[in-house]
Amino acid sequence: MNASELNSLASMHGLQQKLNIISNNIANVDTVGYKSKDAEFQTVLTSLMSQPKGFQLQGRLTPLGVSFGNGVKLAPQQMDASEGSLKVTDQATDLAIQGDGLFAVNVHSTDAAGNVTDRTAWTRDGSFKLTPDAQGNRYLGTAQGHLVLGTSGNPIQVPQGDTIRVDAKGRVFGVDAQGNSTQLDQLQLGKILKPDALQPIGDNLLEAPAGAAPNSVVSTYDPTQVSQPDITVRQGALEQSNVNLAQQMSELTVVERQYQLSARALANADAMMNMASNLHG
Amino acid sequence: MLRGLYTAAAGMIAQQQRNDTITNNINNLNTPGYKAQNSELRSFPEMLMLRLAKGQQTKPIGSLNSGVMMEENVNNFQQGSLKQTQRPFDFAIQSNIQVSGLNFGANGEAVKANGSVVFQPQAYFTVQDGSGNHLYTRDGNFTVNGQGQLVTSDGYQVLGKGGNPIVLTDPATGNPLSKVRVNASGQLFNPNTRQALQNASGQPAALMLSRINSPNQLIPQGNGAYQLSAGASVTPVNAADDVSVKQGYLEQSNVNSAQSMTGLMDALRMYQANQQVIRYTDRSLNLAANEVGKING
Repeated sequence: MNASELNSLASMHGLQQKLNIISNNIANVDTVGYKSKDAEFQTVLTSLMSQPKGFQLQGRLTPLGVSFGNGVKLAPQQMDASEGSLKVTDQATDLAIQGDGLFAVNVHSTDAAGNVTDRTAWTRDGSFKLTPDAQGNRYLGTAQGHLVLGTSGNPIQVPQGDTIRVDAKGRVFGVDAQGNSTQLDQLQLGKILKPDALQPIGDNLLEAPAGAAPNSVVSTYDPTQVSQPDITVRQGALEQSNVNLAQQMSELTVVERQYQLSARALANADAMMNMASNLHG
Repeated sequence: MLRGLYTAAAGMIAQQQRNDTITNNINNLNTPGYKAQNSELRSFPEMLMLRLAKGQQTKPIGSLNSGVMMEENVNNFQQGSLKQTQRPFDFAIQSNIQVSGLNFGANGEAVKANGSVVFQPQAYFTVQDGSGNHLYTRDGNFTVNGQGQLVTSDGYQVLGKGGNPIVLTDPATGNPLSKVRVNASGQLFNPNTRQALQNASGQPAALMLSRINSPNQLIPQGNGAYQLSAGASVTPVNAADDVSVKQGYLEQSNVNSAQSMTGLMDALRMYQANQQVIRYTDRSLNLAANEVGKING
C-alpha cells in the first residue's frame, strides 16, 4: 500500500470512532443525567524525508527536508460537564443536582474468584428507587440497583411506611403516616474538581481513575457547612441529558462528508496503484 | 535507453508524493489548528546537450531537464475559521500581525520593494514536550491533567508567561479549580471570584503566546505541534500585535476541500500522463528491439 492509501485508512478509522461517539450521544439523548461526549481530530506523526545540503537553493521557503503527514487520529474523548435542563416528575425519589456536584453510590461487585468489593462511584442520574434487600429493608438506590451513600458512608435506609423528603442541602427525612419527619441521613455529595479525569464505568456512573489521590478528582462537599452552597439538590425533578441533538446531527453530516472525501482519496490512490501495475502490458 | 523513460518515472514519483500531501490535507479537513500544505515541484538540474560529429567541433543543441522531483511542502499559515465548542478548555488564536511598511495580502504574503517575498508573522500557543523542548501549536483543544496542569490532548504541558506550565489553582485558597476564564490577551482568572490566577513566581498567570516571525521555519511534528528550526526567531506576542485568544472556540483547519479534490484529480491525471509516456516509450523500445532489422519474407 502506498502512503496515500495508508493515510486515508488511518483517517477513516478515526472518523469511524467519531461516528461511534456521535451515535452514542444520540442514543442517550433521553438518558437522565447523561453528559455529552466529544472528541477532536489530531494529525498523526509526521515523517520527514531528509534532503542533502545541495537542496538549499535560493527561493526555497522551508528548512531542508520534506515533511509528510500520515492522516488523522481521534484525540481523547472529552465530557461536556455543562448542566442539563430539569424535568419535573413529582416523584419523591427523583433527585436532581444543580451545580457541578455528583451523588455518591456504592458499586458492589463480585469478581470471578468470589471476592466481594465495594467502591464508591459517582453519578448525576438521580432517578432513584427504593430498593429492598433480602430482609425486606428498603434502601435508596439507583435504577440499576446501586445503593446511594449517605454522609455516614452507609446506604440510606428508609423505614417501612415512610415517604422520603429531601431538602436543598441533601438531607433526607423520613415522613411517616402521621406526618412526623425524622432525619434519616444526608446524601453524600461530591464536587467535580477535574471533569476530564472522571472515567465512565457504565450504568451512567463515573469513577475517579485508579491511583488518584482521594478528593483530588471529586472532593466531598457538604452543603450544610456552607452558607450559600453552589451545589444543591432538587427533589421531584430529573436532570435531562445535555446532548444537543441539532448539534449532533450537524456533526454527523460533517463526519459523513469527511468520510466520503477520505474514501474518494483512497479510491484515487488505488487508481494510481492500478496505473503503476499496468505499466507493462 | 531512451531518456524519456526515466523522466516519466520521475514524474510519476513526484505526482505520487504530491498526491500523498493532498490526501493528508483532505484527511485533516476537520483537524483543529491544521494548516494545509502545498507541494512544490522542482525540475531536475538542466544538462547541456551537445552534438557530436566526426571531424567537427561539438555544437550545443540546447538544455534539457531530465525529470522532476518533490522539492518541499510549504504550509499555508492563513487563519482558519473559528468553531464554537463551548468547552471551557478549548482555545483559538485569532492572529493578524502587521509589520510596519509591509502590506500583507489575503494569502499572508507581502512583496518588498526589492521584490523579495515576506510571510506574515503568526502567533502560537507554546507547549512543552516530555523532554522540555518548546513546541508551537494552533490546536487549542486542551484538557486538565491529574496534577491540575493545562495540557494538550497529547499531554504536552501548556506553558504560561515566564515558561512554567500552567496549573489551575485558586489564588485565594490554593485549591484546584475545575473552571477557568481566559481573556482575549490570554490571562487566566477564577470564574467565580474574578481573581487573576498566579504562576509559580506569584505573577498573574497568562498563556504564553509566541510570535514566529518567519512561520515557514516551523517543522510539523504531528499531533498538531510544530518545532521551530534552529536559529529562527521567536518573540513573545506583544500588546501591539493584533492577536486575541478566544475561549470556548477552536480554530478549524484551513484546508479547502474543493481545491484539494481538484488537486487530487490533477495529480492522478498527471500520474496517468506520465504512465502513458512510459508505455509509449516502451513501445518504441519494443519496435527497436524486435522490429528493426527484421527481414520480412
